[in-house]
Amino acid sequence: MLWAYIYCYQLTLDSHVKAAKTNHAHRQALKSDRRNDPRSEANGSSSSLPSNTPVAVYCSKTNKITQCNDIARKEGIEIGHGLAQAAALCPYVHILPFSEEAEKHMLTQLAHRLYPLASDIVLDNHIHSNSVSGLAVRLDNLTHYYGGHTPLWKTLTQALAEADIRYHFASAWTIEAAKVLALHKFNTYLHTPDDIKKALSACPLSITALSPKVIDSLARVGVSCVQQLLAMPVQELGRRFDNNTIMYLTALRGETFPRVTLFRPLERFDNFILLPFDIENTQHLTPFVSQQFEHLSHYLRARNLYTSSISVHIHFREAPVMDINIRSALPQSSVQSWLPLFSLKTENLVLPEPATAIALTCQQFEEMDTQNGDFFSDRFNDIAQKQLIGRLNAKLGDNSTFQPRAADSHQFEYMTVTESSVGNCAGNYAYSSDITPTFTFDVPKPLIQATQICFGPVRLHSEWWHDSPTKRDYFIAQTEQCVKLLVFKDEESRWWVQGLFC
Amino acid sequence: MKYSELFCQSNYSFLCGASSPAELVTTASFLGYDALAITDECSVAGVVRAFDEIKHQGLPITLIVGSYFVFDDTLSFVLLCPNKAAYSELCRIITNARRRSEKGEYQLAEWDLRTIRHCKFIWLPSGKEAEDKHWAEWLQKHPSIDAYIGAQRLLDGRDHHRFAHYNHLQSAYPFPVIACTGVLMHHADRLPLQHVLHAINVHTSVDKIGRDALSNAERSLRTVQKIKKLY
Repeated sequence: MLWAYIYCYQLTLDSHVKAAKTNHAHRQALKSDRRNDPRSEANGSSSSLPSNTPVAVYCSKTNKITQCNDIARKEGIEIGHGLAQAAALCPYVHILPFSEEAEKHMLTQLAHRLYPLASDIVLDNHIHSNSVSGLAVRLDNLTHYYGGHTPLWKTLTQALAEADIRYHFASAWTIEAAKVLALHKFNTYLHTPDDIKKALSACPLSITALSPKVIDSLARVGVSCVQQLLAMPVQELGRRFDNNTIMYLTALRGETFPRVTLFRPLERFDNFILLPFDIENTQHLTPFVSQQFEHLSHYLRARNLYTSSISVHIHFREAPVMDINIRSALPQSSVQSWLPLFSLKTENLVLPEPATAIALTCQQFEEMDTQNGDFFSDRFNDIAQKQLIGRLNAKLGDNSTFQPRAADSHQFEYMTVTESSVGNCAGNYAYSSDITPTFTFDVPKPLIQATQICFGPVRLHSEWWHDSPTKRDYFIAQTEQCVKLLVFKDEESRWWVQGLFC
Repeated sequence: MKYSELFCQSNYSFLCGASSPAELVTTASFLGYDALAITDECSVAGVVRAFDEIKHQGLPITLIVGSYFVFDDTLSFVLLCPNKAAYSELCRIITNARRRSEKGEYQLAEWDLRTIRHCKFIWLPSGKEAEDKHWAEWLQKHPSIDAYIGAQRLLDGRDHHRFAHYNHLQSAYPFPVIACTGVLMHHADRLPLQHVLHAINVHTSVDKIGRDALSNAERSLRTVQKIKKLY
């Protein structure tokens, strides 16, 4: 086997940088459209950090700095420093909170990105976890398809470059061995056993997943580096250590290949991003939401899917998560389709407090229907209608738009129903009777003017299961003013007007 | 005026006709019909009871034996028997059609149609231009079949389309047009029962039949004066 380990040592920081770049690009675009807009400057808490700010990520559980950028390092801040120490070294350092959940989410998104290229991916929280963010990719079963190691590795590194993250990497015969090399910042692709063994020999025991107790035990018998560990006979290992340690050591030596749980993408879209700064104004969420829609669009296109329902979740520090559900009458996949609906939906939305993160989820998908892709089948009107319904629902709220539809009934009182435009309506019956008027009165009116019958009779004697069964003879009659009316004669030979023709 | 109803289904057309053959012949006789054809679907089962009733009551009405068929979902027609040879022919067609299918079903073959020599063939056009054109041309190619166009006037809002279509067919093809109703009940009061039977037939409840239900009771035995007025 051959596994590569990608050690993402500053995911939170990379996410922050990416978000800041997105915001900067959006502000540049806004500046070119609108020269002076006082609104965009006056609503505070929306300014981005200058690029020369020292930034560090702080984990409150361990009370340690876990990530920091180059500028913070220049100020003397190192990984492992406490918060007070970092503040003392650099009072203006910008602190980002470390969130294990957010890092796991970002790692999952990275796995989603690599999944189309390599199907066997393992997220680090399935291995001997020591809060390291990384993932392993199996390579030996892919070389055949990519035509060798070099094209394979080049493809993967390209995908990682597009993800815009910093990482250390290495490859070895097992995940455990590759991880040790990656933590040692080896950053070289190896695929021969001799090269891997030679590289491992240079690694100290401290970066392996062995506990300090086991490292001490090994030191007592004269084993202080991985080279000596690789040279030690298996029987010696078996005598001194427990099963878990033996399993790890044999995996490190490439003698066993522990079973792992492979990453499988969920059958739903779930994308989470931390905002680089707190945002109070919903309009300033647009670039970040747009980024989310791009991920969604990429996800849908890769799977040949559409969706007509998405949810945007806005996270705050203390307030509960705000869910914004957006529905479209027409299944869509592009950013240009969803962004206007989001803008309409949040036009008058007031955030209870500044937003700190945004998530986009989508669970309902529809397959692209190639059977009805007839270019000439009145698609324009149908699409325009559904787009309008989508916008009206986004602006006015779900279940605010209704459409009249022909119902499955002979009687004019029940012939038309109005139902919500949201979702698929059950059955769309055409008005089949030749005497269906343009307008129908809810309650028939007595016929009081002189008319002349020009069509009929059409006898309706049906639907006796309703409270008031009817037996009527319908006619189309024309008045002296040449207005055509739908009239009927009831069982008592009284004449009534039911509707009007235009 | 004399009138004979040539298309009538009794309750031996299961879950379709709502009146018994006896009720149909009694009512037709009362209304002054000259003759009544009992044309159950791919069956002559109703004829026996109708004949019994006529004989028992001494009704002054002629019973015509016939049957109604649907072929390939595109051709609906009635076969009537003016003589014994036609009756034999009809029975052979019914037997062959029933043998080809499970109990309760039937399946016609084009060969069955081609062998019609003695029966009167009343074609009931569907109103679909392509289908009707196909069958009109087919019937024209088989002049041994004595074909007529059956014209129905049902006051359902589509009569003028129907009659325009009949006129078009008559002008294009040499088939005489005859009036027929397609009776399903002997009296309008049987309409609710007919709705219930139809709901059972389509596996739904009565209130959900919708426009699939008959919109009125015109498919009952109507007075001769009314028929004269309608046609």
